[in-house]
Amino acid sequence: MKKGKKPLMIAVIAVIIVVVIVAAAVMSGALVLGEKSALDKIKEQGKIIMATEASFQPFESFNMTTQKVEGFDVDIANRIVENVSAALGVPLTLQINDVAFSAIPAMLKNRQIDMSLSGMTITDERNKTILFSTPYYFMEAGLGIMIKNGSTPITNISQLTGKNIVVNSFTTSEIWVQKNLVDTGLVSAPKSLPTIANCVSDVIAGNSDCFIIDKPTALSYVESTGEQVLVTGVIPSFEPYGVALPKTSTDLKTIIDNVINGMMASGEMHALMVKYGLI
Amino acid sequence: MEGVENLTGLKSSYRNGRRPNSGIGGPTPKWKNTVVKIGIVVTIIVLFILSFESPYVNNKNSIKLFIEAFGKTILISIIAIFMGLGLGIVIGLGRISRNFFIRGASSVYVEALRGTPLIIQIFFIYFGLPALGFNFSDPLPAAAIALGINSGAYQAEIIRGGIQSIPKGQMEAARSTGMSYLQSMRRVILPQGFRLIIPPLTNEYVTVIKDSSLAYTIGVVELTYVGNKLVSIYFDPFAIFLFVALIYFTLTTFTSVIMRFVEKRFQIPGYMIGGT
Repeated sequence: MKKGKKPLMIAVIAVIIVVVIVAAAVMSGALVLGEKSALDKIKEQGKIIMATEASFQPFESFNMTTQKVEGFDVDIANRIVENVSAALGVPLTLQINDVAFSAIPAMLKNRQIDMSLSGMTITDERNKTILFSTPYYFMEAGLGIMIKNGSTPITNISQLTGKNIVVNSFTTSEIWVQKNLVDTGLVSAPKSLPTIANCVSDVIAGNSDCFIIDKPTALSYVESTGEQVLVTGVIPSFEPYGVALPKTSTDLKTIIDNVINGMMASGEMHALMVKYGLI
Repeated sequence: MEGVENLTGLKSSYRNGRRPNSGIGGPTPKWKNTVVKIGIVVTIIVLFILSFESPYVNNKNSIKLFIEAFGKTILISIIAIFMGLGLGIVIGLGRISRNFFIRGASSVYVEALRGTPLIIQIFFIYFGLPALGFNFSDPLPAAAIALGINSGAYQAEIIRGGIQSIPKGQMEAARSTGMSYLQSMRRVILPQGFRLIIPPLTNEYVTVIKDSSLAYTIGVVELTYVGNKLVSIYFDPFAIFLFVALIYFTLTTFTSVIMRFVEKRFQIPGYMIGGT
């Protein structure tokens, strides 16, 4: 090597060693949870970590001006945090992780998050791996059929025969389509995309004929895309939404159930529904 | 061209012992190179302005998100690059070790990490490892570590290639002066190999920067995540994705330029340049 290169080499190697050590420290410092209960974990970390997919108006969406996730579910989550904080006697904050809906079950199972309010319907299937709170909202508006503005309207179930349908992975809409359309042979298997926004883009791009998702959300996208999509049909359904928790978080569920029941009894839940146009 | 007495009459680029960029048919004149470089910079600036016309990119909320995300992308890339370099040196040397078990373990590491998709590795580390007790509350370290481990495998092969292309005579000469295997590596082989591996390493670093985009799948708020998020809110994929692509391009080009500078600094004029 040329003279004067040696200090450079040494400096480079030293930096490499430092970064590798730091990375190793970070990895070994990663939480090893063991048998800690949900409330103990929350108390230690000083916050409640919640995951949601913020593309499900009016329940959760990302507000560009305030740079925060906002919505019906977020208001309820804040109320939950207040109550847990009071119950534990420590100040707590709410951390919202905005992720794809399909990633949420895995994160709950691994206890990387403490809870999830994401417009998630309580189903028997999900009950096997997820612990749900008592229902906090009953979605009776039905599933909306979203089509691209300008293509032939699809107004009811019979007109879905033979269409290319796209659904959001792991949602009840996907399950509904599977059970009522695919298993009966009316359509071939629907395309399943990780986020709602992907599905809307798919319809706009013309790759799918329609997108089936909860009606209030579908309508919100008509507005936000500037009417590039329209909701032309509704499939009746009844979906109770619950707060999703890791299977072992029974202590947290107790507090959350109390919060929800309290909000319903005091009329606060009704006020929230009015605020977000759900009534 | 050391040792040549009378250098007048030779092109200036030959006189100081360096050969300029050569194309087939001879070296490119310097002014042409400069024009091309300026042309590229101008095109990039024009494209930036074009994507900035979009009101969705050009508002202070979007900019704020982009700036934070830019920092995360750089952080992940830097951690992964350096982690990969450290691992690469160790595993690369391990691949040519005389110890059967070290050689075997290194080979398994390289084959496993080159033979599986990076996105699966990221998912495995973030979603799969918790089953063994390693829980990441924050996805960013998980992504950086996955990318670092993956890059380590590729950098190990690059470094091994560099070491093995040094003529055997160098090692023999070093050993015959009394140095141990490790000493000869450190003082004779690696310094020479370093020069040779800079181009393939540049390639790998550019790849790492681009692969950092995969971190969005586990929820890291980096450039690709923000791009996706904005598209899902505003539905203007053309301007938004163009803007994101341009930022990545700027990052990778910047890296290439730095590595070129390093390459020039370690160059020995007249020795092993120009395809000889």
